[in-house]
Formats: sequence, structure tokens, C-alpha cells
Amino acid sequence: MTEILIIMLIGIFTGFLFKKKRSLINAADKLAGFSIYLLLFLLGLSIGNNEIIINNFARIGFTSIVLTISGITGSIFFSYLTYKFFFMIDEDL
Amino acid sequence: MIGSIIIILFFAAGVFAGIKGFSLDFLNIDDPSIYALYLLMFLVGIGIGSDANVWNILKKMNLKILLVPFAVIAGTLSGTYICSFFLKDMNALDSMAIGAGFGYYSLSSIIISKIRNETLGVIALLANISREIFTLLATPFLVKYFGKLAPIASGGATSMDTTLPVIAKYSGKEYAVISVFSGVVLTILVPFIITLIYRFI
Repeated sequence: MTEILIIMLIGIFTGFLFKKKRSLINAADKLAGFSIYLLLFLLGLSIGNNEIIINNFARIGFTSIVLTISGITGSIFFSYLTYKFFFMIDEDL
Repeated sequence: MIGSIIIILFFAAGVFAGIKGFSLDFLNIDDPSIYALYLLMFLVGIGIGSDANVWNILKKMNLKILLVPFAVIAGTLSGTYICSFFLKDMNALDSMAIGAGFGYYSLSSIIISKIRNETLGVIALLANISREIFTLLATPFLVKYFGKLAPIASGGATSMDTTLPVIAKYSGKEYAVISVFSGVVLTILVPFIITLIYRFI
């Protein structure tokens, strides 16, 4: 999957070179929107075809929520420390 | 918000079509969506590279502001790592990789479903959508009890766009800049961190 990183870096470089060509950039932006729609439709499709996922959806949903809560809790914990020790002292950032 | 709803509708339409028995096997391509993903990564790159705002924000980078996205990364990865011990069908790497979506659900779910499998892709989708929804709803509460950086941390990669308005309202305008900065850094890092988790850890 290193290729997706390389492809993205090529994209960043391309975008940087053509950043003055607004119409081109806007077209790329629109196309990115459509490819997200397409990819999520395809992901949905393979899930709909996958009985294991459909039959275990409640458990998958539960696991997802637990992961969300733990990720958010961890980040708020660290951000609170950052806030307390680095930001609160001089609020005029 | 409208954008998120449209994305979810496309996903739901796919699930529905799949349950009804529609499939793309007749195309005889091993995995048609991998090419769509390559295209998307290229276009996402163009979006980042051409955005003057991104470069301006990154120029403002100083050590203190940089602490914010790093706190989000450290917090999310340690939170999801610890959590993996309590979820019997989830190993530490998958758990951390799903966390490393930082709310960027479209990209993280697709990448994880490609690297690992569709079940984990769905979990990444749901877990990261919930991160955005939670932040939208809980920001006033988070600011009150955990400080002005809390909703920025909770929003993760979404703090640069979808959750920015509510963060700017409750944390204040001067924190909106930090919010965009943190969101930009995390958005760029999502594919890197997910890939690195599976490759090197």
C-alpha cells in the first residue's frame, strides 16, 4: 500500500505546480468528490454481498462505538495536558 | 454536513444493492475499486498541494501549535491501543489503524478495507463518522470541562472543515486557526499513519 502514498505525493506536487490553474483544480476537486461517492458505493456493495458482516452488524456497530470513545478519550486527555501546560498560561496566542 | 449525508447515502445504496444480490463480478476485474482509490489519492494530493491556505497555515507552524495534532495522535493511538485489550475480536494494530482515521472516514475506511478486509473497513467507517458526529454534538460540553483544545482533539482531521464552525463558536476565533492547523496536519498524515502502523509496528 506504499503506492497510495507515492501517488498522493505525486498529486501534492502536481497540485502545487498547477495551483494557478483554478479551473483545473476545481475539476480535480469535483472529480475527487465523485470518486469518494463511487468508492463508498463499492465498499457498500461488497459489504452487502458479505453475509458475515450483515449478520454481525450489531456487534460491528458496538465495536466501532467503543473505538470512537476510546480514541476521543485518549486525545482529550493529551489535549487537556497540552492546554493546561502550554496554552492556558498565555491565552493571547 | 450535507456532504456527509450524501456520502452515507451512497454507502447505504451500495449496501442495499449488495444485499439485493447486485455485484460487479461480471466485470472480471480483480478489484475495480483499487483503481478508483489510486485516482482518489492523486486527486486528494492535488487538493492539498494547490490549497494556498494549507501552505500558509503550515508556515505558521511553531512548536507549540504542533503539540496539538501530536497530542491527538498520541491520545488516539494510546486510547485505541488500550481499548483493543477489551475487545476480543480486535487486535492492537487494527484498533490503532482505525483510530488513525482521526475522523477522516471516507479515506480511512477505504484504505483499511484494502489493506485488511471489508469488516474492518466498515468499523473504520462507523468509528470515524461517530467521531465527527460526537464532536458536533459535544463541543460546548467539551470546552466547558476539558478546555478549549478538547473539541479540536475530539474532531481530529475534521477540525479543519466540518466541525470547524462549532469549534470556532465555542473555543473562540483564535483557536479556529489552531483547529484548522491541527485538522490539516492530521488529514495529510492519515494515509501515512495507517500504512505505517501495518508496515512497521
